[in-house]
Amino acid sequence: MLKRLATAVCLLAAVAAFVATPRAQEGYPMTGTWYGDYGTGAQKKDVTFVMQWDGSKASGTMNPGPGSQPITSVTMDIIPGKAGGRSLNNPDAEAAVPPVFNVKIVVGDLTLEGKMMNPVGGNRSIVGTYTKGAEKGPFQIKHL
Amino acid sequence: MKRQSIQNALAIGIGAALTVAMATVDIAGQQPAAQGQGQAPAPAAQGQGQGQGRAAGGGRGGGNNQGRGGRGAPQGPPAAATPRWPDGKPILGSVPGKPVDGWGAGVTTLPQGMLDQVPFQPWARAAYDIRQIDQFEPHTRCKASGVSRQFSTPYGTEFVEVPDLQRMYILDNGGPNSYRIIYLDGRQFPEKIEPTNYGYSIGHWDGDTLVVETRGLNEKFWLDTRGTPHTKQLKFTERFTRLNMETLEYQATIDDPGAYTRPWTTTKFQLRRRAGEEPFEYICQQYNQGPELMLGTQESIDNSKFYVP
Repeated sequence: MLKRLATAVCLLAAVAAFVATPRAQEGYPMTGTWYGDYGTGAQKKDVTFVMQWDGSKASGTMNPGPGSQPITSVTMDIIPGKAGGRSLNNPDAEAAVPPVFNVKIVVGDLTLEGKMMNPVGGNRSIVGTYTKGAEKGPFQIKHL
Repeated sequence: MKRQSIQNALAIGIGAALTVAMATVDIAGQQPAAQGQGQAPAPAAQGQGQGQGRAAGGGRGGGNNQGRGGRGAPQGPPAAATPRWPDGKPILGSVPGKPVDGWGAGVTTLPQGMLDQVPFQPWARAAYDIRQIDQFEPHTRCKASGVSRQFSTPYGTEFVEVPDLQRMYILDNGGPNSYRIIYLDGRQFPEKIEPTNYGYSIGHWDGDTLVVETRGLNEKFWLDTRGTPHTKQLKFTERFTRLNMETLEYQATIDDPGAYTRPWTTTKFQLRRRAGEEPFEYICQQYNQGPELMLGTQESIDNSKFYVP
């Protein structure tokens, strides 16, 4: 009995460790699993997205499992950055401006619009505003 | 168990290759000049000034890293001809019976000299641009980085050809101290390949050029130190041509509809021979100055701490 319990605990620990380990993903920034919430206070809802990229279109699922919903659309609007000339030898020159990734995710009547933070980092996130009918409020999701 | 098997196979393969090769091969100087290849100028002198530093795997490495020694040194006499195996194929690695050689780094950024012609998708160009500012390349966090990124490490690579096994190993002397296998036995790609850092590489000879196609690459690394992006859809083709004893020409074709609007081919890079330099033990994880970047949030480096405890 004790042996079985120990085995179960070890298995659970292994699964938890796998889930908790950040998995780097350096390709299309939307690809992968995102977790976060939208709304405020008692109205706050957890949300998970799993997305893929086929080279021309991103697609995926919201809240995989029972009650999952297909993502209606995912778009990424990129504002190009600017090269800068600042360096150790030229500290007064203009600094480089990184591109901005504006993201819009639509799932049925839920729309999330936000900006991707640290878009090429393993810890990237999207922060912005959600709308659902007359509801409106903040949302944030993190790449796992 | 699988890793153990691979290690055993590697050890056996290297031993077998050296034994067979020493008994059978004609070394450089006993062969005619490379067919169809003019004698290229001798490479720069192999300087010895660069220490075996502590930084992980090369980082951003500077503009045109040509390995130790390299650019600007005076030109010497013409290089010896391309060494060949008894069947006439060029030897890409060390010449049996001679001291072990490596190849210095030769690829800094794949779009070198043609950035504006690279058919990036908008997100890929934006990612590339951000990576010019964001220096947290996976390789600097000791992540194994495949295909062209193998030829950007400051400590070079070693090619180990094993004719009996019809395969070649490319050993990374830097980063995670790992290796890539290139199958030369005429096999086809498996129908399904689980994406990995080094992918699945199959090579064939096109005249004096070894053409290697790699599929099944994951998205956990950059293609070069400057952050050329890719996706899992990448088919990466490399052309290795040993121009002479001292120089290995390298060119790549990137076919990745996930990141580019069409396939594109890089300029030709040159790797210089690191004559007689045995690979040394480089443990990236041990020497990494930013261990906190290997796992976790990857947000910053604690410069007050130089070594992993």
